[in-house]
Amino acid sequence: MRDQIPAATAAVAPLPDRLRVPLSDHAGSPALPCVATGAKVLAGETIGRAVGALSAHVHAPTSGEVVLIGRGAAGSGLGSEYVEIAADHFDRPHPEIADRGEAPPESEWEALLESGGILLRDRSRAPLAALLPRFRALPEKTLVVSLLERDVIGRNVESILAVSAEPVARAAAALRRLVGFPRAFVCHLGRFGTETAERLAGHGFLPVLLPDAYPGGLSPILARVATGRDLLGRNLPFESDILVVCAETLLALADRLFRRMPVIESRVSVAGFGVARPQVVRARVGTPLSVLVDHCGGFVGSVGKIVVNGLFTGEAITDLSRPVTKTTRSLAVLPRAASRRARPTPCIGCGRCLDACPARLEPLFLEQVIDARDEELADRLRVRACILCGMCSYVCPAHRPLAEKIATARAARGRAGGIA
Amino acid sequence: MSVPHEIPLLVTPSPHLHSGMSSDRIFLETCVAMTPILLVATGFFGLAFLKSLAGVLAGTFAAAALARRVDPARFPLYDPPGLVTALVLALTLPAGTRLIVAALGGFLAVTAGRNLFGGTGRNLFNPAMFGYACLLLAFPFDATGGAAPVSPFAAGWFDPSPRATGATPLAGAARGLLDLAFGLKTGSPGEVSSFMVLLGGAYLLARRAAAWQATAGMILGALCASTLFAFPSLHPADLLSPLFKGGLLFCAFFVATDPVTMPVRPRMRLLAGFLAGALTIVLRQHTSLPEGAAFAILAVNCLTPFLDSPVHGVGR
Repeated sequence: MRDQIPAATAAVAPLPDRLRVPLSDHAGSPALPCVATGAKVLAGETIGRAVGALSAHVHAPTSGEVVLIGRGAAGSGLGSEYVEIAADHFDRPHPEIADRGEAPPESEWEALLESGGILLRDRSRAPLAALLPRFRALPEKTLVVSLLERDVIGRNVESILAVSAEPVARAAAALRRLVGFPRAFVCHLGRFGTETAERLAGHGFLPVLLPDAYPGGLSPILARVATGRDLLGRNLPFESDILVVCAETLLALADRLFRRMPVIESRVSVAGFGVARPQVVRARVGTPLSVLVDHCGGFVGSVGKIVVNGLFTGEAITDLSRPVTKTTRSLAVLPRAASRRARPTPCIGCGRCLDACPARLEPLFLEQVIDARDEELADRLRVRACILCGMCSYVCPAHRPLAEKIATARAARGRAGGIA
Repeated sequence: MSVPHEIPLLVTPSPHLHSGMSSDRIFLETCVAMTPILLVATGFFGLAFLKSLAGVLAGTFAAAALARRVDPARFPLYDPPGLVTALVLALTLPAGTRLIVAALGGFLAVTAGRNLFGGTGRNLFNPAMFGYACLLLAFPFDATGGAAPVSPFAAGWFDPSPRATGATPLAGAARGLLDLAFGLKTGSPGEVSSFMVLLGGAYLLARRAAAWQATAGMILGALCASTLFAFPSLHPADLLSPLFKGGLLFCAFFVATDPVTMPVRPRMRLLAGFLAGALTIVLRQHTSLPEGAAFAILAVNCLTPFLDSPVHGVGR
């Protein structure tokens, strides 16, 4: 489906009239709104302040008036609280981020990073600024830069590297210097990103060439491939000494460090056979997903399912008024015929799930153990090492719901064992 | 917004993609892989083979129809695993087996060998081997009369009765190894041409419809055991000929590869295959059974629940 997206370029989505910006798109506590209803805001202005260790700043995606500070309903994609802005369509930048003709000096970087609202794009959704003190304190640490697409349908990274290879490489080198990583790797596919990888090799990063195969782009796999250490099941940025950052995060870092621009935009690959013109779209945070679909020519045929953030790990949604968030990366529109799941039949013991599992688990036996509610044995079978990639369900010829059962058991065991 | 409030959208847990592989397709691939053997069997046994095939198919169909009456949701009439069972059984039974005996074999294989356990995926024994074992015990003369192959479309082709019972090839009349591998042998239709078995087996493994470990294990096990028995002779003909005799090769490719009744873990598959291969040779040497492979497979099937215990995954 990736080939549907014709070129590695990104279109810019139109600004909607209303933008709803969630204040809790990151791992920690929701940001505290620091604007009141009726306030005029400028693009890039701070509208939510980080509260607590793993929180992140939130910025106004465009200029306009704050019309509502509301509470999001469950499943609305808005989190606990959100700020609704009526855009004035002038898109005036805040003086802090206005182009002053020169890049900020390195002495300002620390402060810029602290308030930049930059998140890791993997499952952890950890704010980058909150991780730096932790990593600085570690004696041994490794930086892994990923130039791989996380999504089987997306071309986000390709579209970034087509025009921003240089800033991405500079941002990676800057991050390494800021934290003082003694070892650093850059993982790339060879199909694209070679230039960036070569630049980074010049900065002492070790290049790792990887095949373009899911789930190779997921952080735990990259950490394992690059360092040779098996940390599957750990919540990487919080529980290990390996920091995996992707090209999207690095671009956000480059925007902040070299142009003072905070995170107010996401790249979203709109794809799938149910949409007229699949493409990569740059959209301001808070833009309703329906605007993206309209920008891509609307729906074609009978739409059966709409999936946000990847066909393997993403969430099926029904409400297109959901906003683009900092961590939105893809929107897949599936035709009705491809949406239904087949009825599960008994396992025939073909062993495909064993071959497919990147964590070397045994999904079919885990399913038996989970069905028998033998939690102790599930633990001993390392249910927590599951990286939730979904490969077991993908390959299962009997359509067993392996991934969802294991994910549920993993979450339950994680809580019992004190790991979120 | 142009669309979808009037469209009911589906919400399911991830993943939202599927490889498109289905259990039925795996079993159909196995049927396709057996085509060359079926053609050779038809060519050389003529109506005698077609008669036993028809009997087995009728029996399995009757079993499927009966199961459907009991539980239509669990036992659909479209039953590719049942077709695999029927074909394997027809190729294992001697050509010209009485229609009623063949039908009974097919019925027992699917009903007692599979459906009574709960259907495909829940059966302990390979259904075809189960049916064959039943017939061997109940109708020893029907199940052992090895008909001799004739040239295609020769005079005897249209004769549906069991032909002059050929000496079982296990008796080991001095035949060259190449002749044994590529030529025709007496025995049941599935054993006649080792070459076609290898051809079909290669297709099966190349299409990844079956794992190679059980097959490799079975061949390796048979080789080891036959080396042990042939010792001190280390002549290649002595060591390799047991492979091409009887139903060992056919079982290695089309029975030991049954995913349901063999272990799942690759190492356990190798082990189970090895045991089955070695046991085949032991049964041939030391029992009065006409062929050891079927019983060796059934014996190893008993081990599968143990080898497949989730506990073995601890510390993986």
